[in-house]
Amino acid sequence: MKKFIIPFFLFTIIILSSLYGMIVAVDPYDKLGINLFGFETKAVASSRENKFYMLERATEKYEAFILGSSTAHRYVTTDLELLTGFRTFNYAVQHTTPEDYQAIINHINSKFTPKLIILQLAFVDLDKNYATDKRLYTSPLKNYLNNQVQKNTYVDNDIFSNQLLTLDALRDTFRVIGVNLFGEARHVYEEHGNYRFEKPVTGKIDVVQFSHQNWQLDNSRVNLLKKLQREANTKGYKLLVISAPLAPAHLARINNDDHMSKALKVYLDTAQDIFPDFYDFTSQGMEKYNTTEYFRNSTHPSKKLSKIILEQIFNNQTE
Amino acid sequence: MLFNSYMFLFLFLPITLIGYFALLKKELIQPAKTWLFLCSLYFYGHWNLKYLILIVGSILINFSISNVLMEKDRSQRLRKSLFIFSLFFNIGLLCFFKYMDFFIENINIVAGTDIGLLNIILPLGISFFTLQQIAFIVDVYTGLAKENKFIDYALFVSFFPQLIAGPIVHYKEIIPQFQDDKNKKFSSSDFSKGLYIFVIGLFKKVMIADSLSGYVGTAFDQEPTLHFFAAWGANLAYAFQIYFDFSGYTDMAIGLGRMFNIKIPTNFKSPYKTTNIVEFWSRWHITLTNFITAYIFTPLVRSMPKMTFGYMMFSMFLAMTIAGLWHGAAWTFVIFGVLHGGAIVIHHNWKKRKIKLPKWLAWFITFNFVSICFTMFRATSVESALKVYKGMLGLSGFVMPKGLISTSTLRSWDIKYGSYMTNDENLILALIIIGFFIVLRFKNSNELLDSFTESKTKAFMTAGMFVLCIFGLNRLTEFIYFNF
Repeated sequence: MKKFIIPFFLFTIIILSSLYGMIVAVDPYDKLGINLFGFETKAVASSRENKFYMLERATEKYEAFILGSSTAHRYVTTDLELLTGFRTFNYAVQHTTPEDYQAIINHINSKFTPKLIILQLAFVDLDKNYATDKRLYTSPLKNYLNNQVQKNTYVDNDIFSNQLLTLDALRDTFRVIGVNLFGEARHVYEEHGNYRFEKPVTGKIDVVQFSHQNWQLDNSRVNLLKKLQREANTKGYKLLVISAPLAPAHLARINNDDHMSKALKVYLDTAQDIFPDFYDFTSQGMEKYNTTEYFRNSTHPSKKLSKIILEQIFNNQTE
Repeated sequence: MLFNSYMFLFLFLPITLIGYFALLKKELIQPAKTWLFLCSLYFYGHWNLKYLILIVGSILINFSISNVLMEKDRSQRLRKSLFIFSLFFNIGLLCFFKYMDFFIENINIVAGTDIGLLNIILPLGISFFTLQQIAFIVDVYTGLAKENKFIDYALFVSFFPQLIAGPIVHYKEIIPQFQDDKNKKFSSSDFSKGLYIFVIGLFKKVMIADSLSGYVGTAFDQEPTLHFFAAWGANLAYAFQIYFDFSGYTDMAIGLGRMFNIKIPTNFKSPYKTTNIVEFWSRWHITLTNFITAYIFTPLVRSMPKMTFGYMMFSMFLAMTIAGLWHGAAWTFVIFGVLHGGAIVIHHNWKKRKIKLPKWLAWFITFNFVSICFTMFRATSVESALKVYKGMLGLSGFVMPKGLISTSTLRSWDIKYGSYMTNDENLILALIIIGFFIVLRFKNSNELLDSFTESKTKAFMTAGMFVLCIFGLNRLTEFIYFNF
């Protein structure tokens, strides 16, 4: 008894409370608003959780939202506010597909009355072979996936939550500690969901490897996007869709590949058909922005280019 | 209720244990057994209250029949009639709940009819508790069993650690232990061993099997095609998932039994180390193999006109086909049984002709044969299994890992670069490598239990594993064998 059973239960209590205490103190998803160690970066792969809880705790009455993948991270909310006058939140998260947009829009509608939603689509979003990021299904956004917004069961200060007593939370806690103590701070979200970290990039634009050589149109996602547009019409907010810009070198590679160039056309035509307010920055207009001042790599526009895109859209609208 | 749930670990198990040993301490033996029986029924009924009637009814009917069969002054004719009735009753119950829709489906295909399916939900553990009761009735009829205490019989059938997915226990292995006086008080030594082996089983299930299940599910059920690496990944991932899932469950059952001072027989002895298929079945799901041998193969052999090698092999093949079908009502399971039956026949022929292979080659063939058969076992249809086999043969193309250098030769062969499995490819690859390492290099759970000595270091390690499992409990998944 003294050699095994009692030590087992004692060790269990000690290890469990230490690890759980560490998770709560680090608060990897910004769920509790606790940041005992003052870490700048939270879980690097948890933008869904971070932004979800950021919005849950928000006291601002946001009227405009920016959605998209990491390509939309660098839209600065004040830039849009200056152009529209709407209080703005950037809800862009990594590796998105239309399933994410549905959940995010449902989440927004459950808490706010939006007047404008800007959705930055990427070519890969409609690829049948591009799997939905499983982090969507482990984040609180999973509860907003269905058609009807479920009752929000999240309690902001629920320390004994199933969300934190998980292997993912434990892994992300170690990751947060590791990144903050030994690594490079990445994906830091400031107030209003703005992306802060912007280490300058120099040299030639890095053309990223294609991850969708076998692009095929995903009809279920097309239907999902159509539904999002219908919802916008019903609820009376403007859904403005931007096709994410590509650096000229990246576009040239697509155009040199027969399958890819056809696929890009299908993607753009489909999006154009669905959305009355659609702006194509993928296949045109980027020639003069062919430097790292505007592109951090061939698929990720810088803050400067993001601002230019917003100005082009809204100045044209004003005209 | 699942062993890998908060409710089981932190409520049901402590309450059941405390209640049982508190009653035993006051020498209330029958109330203690009744308490354990009622707790077992609660454990079963927690899943679906309706099917509680089924298990209780099955226990009552089988116990009543066995009591009549034990009475020596009854006529042989009555005994035989009752015995046949009980076999029909048990097998009929199993057929109705497990095979009725399969039967209707096939009738519809063959006869071109349109009989509606009954859509019966398979009652949990029915295959296991039915087999145990058939074995008991057969032994009572042949005079081998002499048990007539209801509560002991009821506990033998319903004892919750082995109720849902085995091991398939024989009454001789369980009832005497409940009657043994030295098992009627709390034993810290047994409890320590039980706790230790339970945590090992929980770790296998939660940390390894459940980590593989997502990839296996995607590969088998969602992907329309699988390229070479993804198909091999799915094949190997499932071989490890089913092993760690089922042997993890068995370890937990053995551990739980041990906490109550009951030694439940082992079901696995390093099956993936074996070098031939016969040896594999003597180390994989051992209690099922024993049942099949004693109650199907042996009677089949006895019913043959002569005891020749050919008849023996035919009986073996038939017994394995039945074993395949026992796992589930689908042609994939029949094919699984046929493949194994065929392999056993081939092995015996090789052995007869004294064909010997180098040990490494024999292991390689055995392991791959077993894992390829498990792909058929896992697939929801023959087409789904063929999809995996096609990918494994390279007929659905190759996608090379992104990190490898792209060469024009490979591109000219239409070899693409990208994710070579699906999401989580690094984790899955790591788990497959860890899986090989554990099954080939580590001691198995029985060896770990045999060499167990109480120490604070072991307590610390076990507690660490247990805590990790607690963090993994949110991914609540059923055991694979709950479906059989």
